Amino acid sequence: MLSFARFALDSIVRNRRRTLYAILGVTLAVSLIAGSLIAIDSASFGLLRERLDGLPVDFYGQSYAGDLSSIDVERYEEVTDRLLTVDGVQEVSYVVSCSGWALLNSDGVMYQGDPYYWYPSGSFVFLPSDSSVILDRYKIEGEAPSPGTVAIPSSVATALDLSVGAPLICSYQVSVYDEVNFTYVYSYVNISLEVSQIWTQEGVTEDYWQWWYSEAQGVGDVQLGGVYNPVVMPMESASMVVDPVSEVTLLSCPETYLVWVDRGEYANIVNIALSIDRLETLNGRLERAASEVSARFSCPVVQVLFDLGSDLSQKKLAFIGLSLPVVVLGVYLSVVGVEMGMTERRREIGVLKSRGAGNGQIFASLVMESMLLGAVAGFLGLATGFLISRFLLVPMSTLYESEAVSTATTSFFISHMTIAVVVLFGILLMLLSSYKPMRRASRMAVAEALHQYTPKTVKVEYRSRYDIAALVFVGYSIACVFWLRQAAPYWSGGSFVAYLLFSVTVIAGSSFVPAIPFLLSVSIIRLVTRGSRRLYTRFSWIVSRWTKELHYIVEKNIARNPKRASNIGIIVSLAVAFGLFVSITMESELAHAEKVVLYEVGADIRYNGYCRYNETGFYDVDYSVLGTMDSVDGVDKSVMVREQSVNAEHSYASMAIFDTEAFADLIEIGSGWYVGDGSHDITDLGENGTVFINEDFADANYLVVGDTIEASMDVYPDHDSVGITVSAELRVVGVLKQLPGMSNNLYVDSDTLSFIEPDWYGGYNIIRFFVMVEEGADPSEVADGVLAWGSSAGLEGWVEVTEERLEEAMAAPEFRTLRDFLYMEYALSIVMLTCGVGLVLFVTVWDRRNELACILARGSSPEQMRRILMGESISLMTLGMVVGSSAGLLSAYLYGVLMDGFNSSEIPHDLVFSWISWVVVLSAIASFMLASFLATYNAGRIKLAEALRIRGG
Amino acid sequence: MADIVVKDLIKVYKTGKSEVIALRGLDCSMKGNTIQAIMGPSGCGKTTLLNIIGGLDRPTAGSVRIGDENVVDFTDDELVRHRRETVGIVFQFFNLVPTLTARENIELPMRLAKRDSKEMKARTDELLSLVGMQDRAKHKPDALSGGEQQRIGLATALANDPPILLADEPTGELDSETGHQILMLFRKLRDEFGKTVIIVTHDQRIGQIADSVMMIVDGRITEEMSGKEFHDRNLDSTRSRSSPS
Ligand SMILES: Nc1ncnc2c1ncn2[C@@H]1O[C@H](COP(=O)(O)OP(=O)(O)OP(=O)(O)O)[C@@H](O)[C@H]1O
Ligand SMILES: [Mg+2]
Repeated sequence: MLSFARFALDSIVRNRRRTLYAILGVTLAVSLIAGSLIAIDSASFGLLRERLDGLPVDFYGQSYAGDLSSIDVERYEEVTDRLLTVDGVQEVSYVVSCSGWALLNSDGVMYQGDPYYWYPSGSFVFLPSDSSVILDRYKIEGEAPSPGTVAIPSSVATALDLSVGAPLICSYQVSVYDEVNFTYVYSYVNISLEVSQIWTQEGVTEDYWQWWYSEAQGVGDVQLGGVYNPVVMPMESASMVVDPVSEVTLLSCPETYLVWVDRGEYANIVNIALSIDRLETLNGRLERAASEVSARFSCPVVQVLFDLGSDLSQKKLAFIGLSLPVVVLGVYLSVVGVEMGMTERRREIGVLKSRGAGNGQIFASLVMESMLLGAVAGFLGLATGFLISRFLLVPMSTLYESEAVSTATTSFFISHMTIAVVVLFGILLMLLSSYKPMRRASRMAVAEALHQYTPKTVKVEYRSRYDIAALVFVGYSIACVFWLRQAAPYWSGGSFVAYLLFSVTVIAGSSFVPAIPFLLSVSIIRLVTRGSRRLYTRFSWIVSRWTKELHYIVEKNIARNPKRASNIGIIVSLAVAFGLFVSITMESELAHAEKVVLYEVGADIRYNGYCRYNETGFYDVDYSVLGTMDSVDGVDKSVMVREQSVNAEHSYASMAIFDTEAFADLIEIGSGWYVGDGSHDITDLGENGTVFINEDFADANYLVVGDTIEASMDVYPDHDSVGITVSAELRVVGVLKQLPGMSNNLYVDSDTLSFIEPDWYGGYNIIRFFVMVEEGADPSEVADGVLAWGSSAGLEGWVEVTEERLEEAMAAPEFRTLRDFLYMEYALSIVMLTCGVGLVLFVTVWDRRNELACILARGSSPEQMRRILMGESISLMTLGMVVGSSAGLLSAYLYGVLMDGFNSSEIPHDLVFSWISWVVVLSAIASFMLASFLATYNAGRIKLAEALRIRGG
Repeated sequence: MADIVVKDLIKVYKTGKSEVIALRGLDCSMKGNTIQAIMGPSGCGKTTLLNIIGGLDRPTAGSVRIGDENVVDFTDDELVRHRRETVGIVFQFFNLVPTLTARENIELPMRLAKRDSKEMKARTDELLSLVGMQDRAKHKPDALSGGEQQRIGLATALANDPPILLADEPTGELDSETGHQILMLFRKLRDEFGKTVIIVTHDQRIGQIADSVMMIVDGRITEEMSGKEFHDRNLDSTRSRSSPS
């Protein structure tokens, strides 16, 4: 048996063409797996790197062992040394901090970290004598301060208008409770220090949970040793602070130990669980080493890994799900390739058998061969997957958004796991797709195998049962989608068990939507090409104008090898169906997400204004300016909405008062926003004395349409703090969920409340403006204009810009990774299509050499020959395109219907057929034409004399 | 009808590193409106010669003149026209297009030559009756016997009414009775339609119909005789050995 196995190896090496056919499909399928795994790994590796880049320190331990009076460098050094002995630790340093200080300049201006609260936000950080590692890791731009001086963040310097050499005054408020007078007595410790360094820092944060800090870090902000915007001082000059304070009070003075390890070794993306485990163990050992000062250590790297890990497993699942269509295509291709090789070697096997080889021997040698081939395909797939993931991503991601640097392209990572998985997958796939043909081939009767020597029409048994079953299943699945959408939410009758049964079957049925492109493509094309030849013959008329006098040969082609013909159709159809399904679904989701953001904000720009108070205690708004929003540069339309707190139905409710007509004109409000039969419209409020209420308010107060409510509020006609209460009777004309950009309890038109003069409003009310910008204007610039306009009107406000939010969302690494992945998938499916169709056509031409030579010998010109072949393949392609695009569109539509059912339908899903979908379709056509041209080109140049000599395999 | 004059024909096949010389300076001439038989041991180069004359292959050197044209100098397009209009080829293994019916197979060369459909239909009917296959016109090759397939093959070769008919062992796959019928058809073609027929064969009965018989050994003509001479000699040798070949 074993000596016979040598035959397997020989067979691979000697029949290179056949070897190529057999592994092409598997290689392509595997290269997608490899490509995706590499892309996912690389992307997560990139993500890990990006996030770790923002972490200046691997472990930090805080101890509250001492107070300011007991600063003890020796102890710190001792702990540091002990920490250094822990296995795996590379570097250790420490800082000591002291918070609670007010920072002032010599003019007495105080630094306030947050403009809304008043509190002294300054802290001292004392650096050890060798602080280079800290400055380096914390990406500090600047030097360590010289003894007796301080370094301050440039944000502090700017706020206090300090430059190098200027004095910074640090002030500590000491409060003592006077038990005689029952009051606090305050005294201040003031220290004046010279600023010798002004620091800046590149986006980092010590605490992973505050990742937003590193992203949103203000210009000149610095974070160091757990302190934001510290006043940094060398430890040796600590006495300048310690001495004056120690005289009056005790101040807590936490020491922070900073520990660095080899991240490459400890933060391993391949085995996140193990990495976390090791880091946590190390964390414990660090705490143990620093037990003398009972420091609590924490490891932000663990948080990053933890976050990424749960993220990653989800993402991998999602990506594997997404890549399934293309894997299916690849598997299909590999089955086709293997079967082709097997048919070709029937004769060879017959010969072997006639020389005495047993079924078992043949089977064993075939299995051996296919395992070898599988391994070869695995490695090849790995290589091509690598190339594909590298080279396709770069141009594709730059095409989309020129400045976006894809996370997946900037980092490369391939794990041992990937290699093992891919190669094993190659072998498995090869065995799977060749098992049936191998068994059939090894059991074949000798006489039959040796018999074939003249071209014959291939008679492959075909049963339409399975295809019809598949179509019925698709129909069932479609029905389920609509059931789920329409009937399920209103299901009321029946027992719980019946409901459970119903929902399980319906949900199971509709969850097959992603499989619809596959089922439809395969079954329809098989039915059309193999179930009835007449259908295909009819269909092929589309190329008849081109194939002219030879069209009757094209019509007959299907009869020759219907299986192969249907394979070409199926490959084209699958590629197009999945390409369209994925691209349309993704682009529609994206468009929907954009709409969601737009409707969340309510317009291109939402300006939220608060009233500033003037000296008289009344708010200070210039009413003449409020109406002039539209004059701001770039503003197309705007609507002002007053948000007023009112008393209605014995409780406080928020009321939005606005020009409803103008708002309806500003943004489209579909029927999904209203509760009930959908006959409502916001412009109904044009009728005086009417109100729309939201669902919560209606539920809480048992209100229905037609009820009347009384709403009252305080207004201030005299512009002082003494108000009067006005009230209005309002009739409920509709209930709604909310409105774009607004979530209030009551919505009324400003005309209804016109008896309240604009300058009567007072209290804590908000004035919002919803702004649509002019075509071509930059929303961010317009927003700046709006802000400036707001403060000229006396408002304190901020803006939300839809486009900025979108950009933010699109810049998220996760989003970019997903996008890159999808592009890779599109590209791969096109590559597969080209290779697959090219392979099948090439084999077809090769197989038919004899027949084609006959036609050539009868006087056909090479050009006529190509017309016949191209005619055949184009009619198959057209069939594939028609079926594929309908299947793709249908599934995308169904998916949209499903998503509408699951999400709230306030913002409906629209199908978006974007340029990407066009690219998918057009490149499918182009690659198909290329493949069939290349495959048929040689047909015109067949060596006649040789081809006609060949009479068998 | 124009004569076929072959001069100094050399054909070398290169397969990898080795070379096979199939024709080594073959000279011969064949008269128009005759049946020319070519015989010789296996591998002597008969098919090669026929392929070159038929425009299916090109020689390494030499010339093949038909009238005043040299087939060897033809461009690819001229070769196509040559195959379409000047020669008709009958193959040992019939080489019919399996997906087409008998009638459609016969029509194929005419379609390739873009004949109009009325003319094509009339010609096909004519050919079908010539080979006696009127009632099998709608059958596909795999539903026909070998002899029937060969008749269709003959009709196909005749479709565009070429002056020259090339047949490579047309009776090799057939029993002797069917083979005989085919040979009679060839004779009819020479006598009634004025065709030039070149037949490669091992069939000893060829002497009955051939005007001339050429023997090729190892890529060269070694002997040429009239059909009658061949027939007589064949009878002698059969008698002397008293075993039919
Ligand atoms: N394509 C080819 N490549 C290499 N050698 C070839 C090729 N075709 C023919 N030959 C060689 O050329 C020689 C002549 O071949 P040819 O087919 O003309 O012989 P033949 O006389 O027709 O033989 P047979 O009576 O067996 O059909 C043979 O030795 C054959 O092996
Ligand atoms: Mg021969």
